[in-house]
Amino acid sequence: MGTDRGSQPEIPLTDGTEPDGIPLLQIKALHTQFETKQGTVRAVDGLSLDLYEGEVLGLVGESGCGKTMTALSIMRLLPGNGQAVAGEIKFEGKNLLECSSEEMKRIRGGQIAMVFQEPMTALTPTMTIGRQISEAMEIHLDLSRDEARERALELLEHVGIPSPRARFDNYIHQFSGGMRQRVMIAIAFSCEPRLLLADEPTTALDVTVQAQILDLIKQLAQEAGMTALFITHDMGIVAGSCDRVAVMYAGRMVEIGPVDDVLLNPRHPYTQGLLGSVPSLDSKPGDRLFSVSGLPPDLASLPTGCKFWPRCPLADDRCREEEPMLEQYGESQAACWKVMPLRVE
Amino acid sequence: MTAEANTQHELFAMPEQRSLWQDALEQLMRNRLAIFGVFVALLLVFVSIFGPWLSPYDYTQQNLFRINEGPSLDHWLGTDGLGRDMLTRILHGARTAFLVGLIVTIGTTVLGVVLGAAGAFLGGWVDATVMRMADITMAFPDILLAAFISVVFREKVLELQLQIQEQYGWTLSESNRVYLDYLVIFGALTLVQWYGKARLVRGQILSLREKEFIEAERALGASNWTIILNHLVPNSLGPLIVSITVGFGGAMLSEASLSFLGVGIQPPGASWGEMISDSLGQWRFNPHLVLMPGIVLAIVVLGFNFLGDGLNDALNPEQRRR
Repeated sequence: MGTDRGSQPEIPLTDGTEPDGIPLLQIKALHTQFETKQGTVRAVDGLSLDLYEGEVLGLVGESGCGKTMTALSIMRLLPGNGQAVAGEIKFEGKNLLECSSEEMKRIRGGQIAMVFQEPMTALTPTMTIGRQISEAMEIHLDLSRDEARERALELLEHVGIPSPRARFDNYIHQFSGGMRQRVMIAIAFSCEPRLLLADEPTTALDVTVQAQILDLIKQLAQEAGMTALFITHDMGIVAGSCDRVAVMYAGRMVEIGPVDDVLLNPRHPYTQGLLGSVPSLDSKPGDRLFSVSGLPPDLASLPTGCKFWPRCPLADDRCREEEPMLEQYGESQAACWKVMPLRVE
Repeated sequence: MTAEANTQHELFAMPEQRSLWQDALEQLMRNRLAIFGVFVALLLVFVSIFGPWLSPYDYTQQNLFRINEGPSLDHWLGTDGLGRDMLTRILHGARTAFLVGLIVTIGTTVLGVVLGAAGAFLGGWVDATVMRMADITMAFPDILLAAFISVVFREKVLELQLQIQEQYGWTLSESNRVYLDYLVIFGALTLVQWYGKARLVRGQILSLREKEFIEAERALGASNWTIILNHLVPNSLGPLIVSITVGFGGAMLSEASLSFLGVGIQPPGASWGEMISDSLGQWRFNPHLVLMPGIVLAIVVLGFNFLGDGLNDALNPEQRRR
């Protein structure tokens, strides 16, 4: 499990307990913006984040808080009018934002792989499953068609597709949602990437399949010693699959720390709100779930001070005027002027 | 392998491996109407190539002693108002219909795919220009515009041909100017029918470009070339092939309409539309002279439409039922 201790968000320091002190992926003050008619939308607004070799980090937050845009910034696949205007994304010491498009093509799929949310639409309908898996390997590993086919068969078997030889020449419409996501995972792992970005990999699947897919990703990542970034809004996935968790709000990080610490002792009122909105086994029928009041802010016109104050029950004048920085509290960091006393469990 | 494993394997036996095209072909062969379409298309190709050798008469050969006859042993489908053998003229009309269908379809497909794809890829003023041109073409009734084009350009093409003949002494045929009609018809129909395919291709590429599987391909590091060739083209091919097949019938029908109106193939050239219009004065006394070419035209166009429908079902893997 990786712990990240730093007092400044811009220059994260480690306390030396890391197995490998140098992070695999280092995001520094990333600003990703969209130019729209309503003005500049700050989808990611000064995010700094370190991912250490072999860890699984969960990135959580509401819809539209910049989780997916962070992943797409890493891949340099932002849609049309989006651009990472400032900051650095260092992957193995290289700034991805300055790479040529040729270098990026080698890195995508080869070094950094992505699993998409919708297995129903993320596979080509007119190409056989086998060809789609082989394709990536032919691009990145320079394998011949036959070699790629052999490896694709192994991969299909490995991700738990029964009778892979017969399934190799099927099309996606012959596969169920869970099986399609297994195929997506096989494609993502085919070139043995060092970093896996999983963008809500189980949101489109039903609950029993979700658990299987999560276990599969975890198992494969462990076998390959892979680092993974799980983008999700499901606290259950974070608790079950991640080593550390980072909570995003309005394009910024509001809390980050080891999963156990953050889930048991959330410091930021937003994290507390998120956790409070998860139904628990102790709740009685008829109990109302807690919900964070209000709506996420308009990213084109953010409030001053702490971006969460309009929805925060604890906000005062200081929150409205000064923006809090990430500060160390115990094992975790949080950006809040009003860090609450530890919750008693 | 144990016996148990064997039975299990049989239980989960999957259909044998097939490509998209093998799959589509098998699906097509299961569709009776599509089979009919395939048969009609093959027959048309055969007749248009070997037609002149299938009958003892020439399509321009007149026999004024035997006009407006009914079916007989000498003339299986009778003779028209100038004593020309109907069967021979219908066979020759097949050649006209097939040539028009083929060349107009190739013309509209090339023009449509190039303009539509250019619009979708380049965007901006290229897209705007292409689409406004399509809108303008669409605003005119097809037949009227084609008739206009063919009337205006027939003289010009004839002049050009005479000029070439004077300068280089080269000509296609001294006596028979039917090839000129062909040229004018091909051009006119291509110019009024290109927009359908251009809009289709543009729409296909615009919508496919935003699909998640294209984004997923980018995330795999695939080059633009790979994405276009392996993912965009195969996924837009289905609708295009259907449009080509149906357009084939449409082009033949348009040519027949133009010839019927007298601005298409000129006498003595044979065209089903022209044959109908020729014999229209006779229809009370010799209705078969109007019915024969009409029925043949209807069957051929219907055949191509059935083929198009069959291909539509066969090439759409998402719609396929097992």
